[in-house]
Amino acid sequence: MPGYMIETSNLSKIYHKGGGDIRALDGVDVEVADGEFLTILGPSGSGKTTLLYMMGALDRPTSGTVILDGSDLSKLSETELVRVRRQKVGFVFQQYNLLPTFSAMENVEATLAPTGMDRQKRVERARELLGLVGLGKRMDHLPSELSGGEQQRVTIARALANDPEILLLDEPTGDLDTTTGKEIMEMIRQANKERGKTVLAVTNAEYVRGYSDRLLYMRDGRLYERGFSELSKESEAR
Amino acid sequence: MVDRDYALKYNLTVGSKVTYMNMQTAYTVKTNYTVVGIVEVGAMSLIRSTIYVNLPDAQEATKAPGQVNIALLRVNDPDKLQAVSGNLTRLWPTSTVITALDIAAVTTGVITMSEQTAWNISLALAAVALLIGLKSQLSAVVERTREIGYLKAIGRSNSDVMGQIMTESLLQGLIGGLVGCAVGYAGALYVLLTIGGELDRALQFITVDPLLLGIALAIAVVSGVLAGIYPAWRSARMNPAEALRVL
Repeated sequence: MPGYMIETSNLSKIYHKGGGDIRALDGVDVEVADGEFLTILGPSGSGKTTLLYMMGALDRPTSGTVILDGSDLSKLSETELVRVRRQKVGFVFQQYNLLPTFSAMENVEATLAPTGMDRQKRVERARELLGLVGLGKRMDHLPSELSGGEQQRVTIARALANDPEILLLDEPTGDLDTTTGKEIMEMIRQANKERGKTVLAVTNAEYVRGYSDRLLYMRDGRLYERGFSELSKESEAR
Repeated sequence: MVDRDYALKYNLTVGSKVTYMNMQTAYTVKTNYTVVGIVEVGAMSLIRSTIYVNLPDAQEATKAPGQVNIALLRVNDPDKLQAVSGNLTRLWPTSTVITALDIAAVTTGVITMSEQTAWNISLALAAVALLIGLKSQLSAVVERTREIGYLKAIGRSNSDVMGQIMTESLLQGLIGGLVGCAVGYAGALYVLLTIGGELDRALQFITVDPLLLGIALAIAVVSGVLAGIYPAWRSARMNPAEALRVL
């Protein structure tokens, strides 16, 4: 029986907005095996990012549980959640979120600063990871001097900096053309295969499915094992 | 002799002619003089004038023979100043005798008032600077919401974020204070040069009080820190998930 890196049970998140309640997650049960590459496909507003943030200890659910590497996140204090984010999780965002006044190298190095690692070691680590993502010669450039694909490579290097157990990808190819997006997905797949990182990607880009071990679909805060087109066809057949 | 600035203004040199016109008599009396020298008197001097002539010539030109309107006396023994002042008043009851002590008292009063006013203005400006700093930091925090969300996503704690914003605020206050002191010094220099002082004398005239400098910098730093507290607290409380969703 495989170990699970993440398990959610009856996970719900309700946002209380002015006009009423918005149910972003509606009883989500999902397990992500250790070393697995899971992709969740779904349209914008389906709850993908909310689920990702719950799994990455960035937000707390309204009800239900998230167990990350054996720890029930709902029972952890704020300080412990900070430690989880620092040590267990690496995020890759659609909008990169690179610090604009920091070079590529400094952006990666900054991720390691809270760990207390010696600066020389941080620089070496950042250099190694930027070399790994093919930015060995552009590590002193500012984000504004890098293309979208290069910026996303920096975020991958940054996400790997702390040697996390799991990579959480929020629309990792959202702002990229298909060719660059595929290069990025190759890189993530490589981290999954060669470094044994568990990967959870949420996206609405269909081509991402080809890189994952398993695919789930999300709609209106619920997870499905089959896509909506398949469900529609089945429904029509009946 | 003519004052240097006056000479410069009217292009006068030694040998130039100037005419004094006395219009206080029934008819205007003109007296011509030839410039024999250019004289430079400190900008703050009590006896600064534009044209300097011998007393008999001045008395004749003003049609006031044997009269003076001001006499400057130097008392060799400061202890006898009051006695000399009293004797002069007795000798010339209609005259006004002003001693150096009287001038010093007035000057001290003016300086004290000026200092008090300057302090009040400085405190008011510090309060305004504090409010501007607070607004500026709040705007910066709003603009950097995603960045703060990202910092939290990579494992920065609330206290890390708060510390970062406070440090930035403190440094802004310190830099603002240093720039303010430099601008203040330059402003004082400019004022002295504008009223006719020489650069080397103006530099000697402006004294930098280390205590005052320290107080000014301390106020700037404290203002920076105060302006940063609320924005830092707000940043620390931000939910990272919500911060990352901000466009």
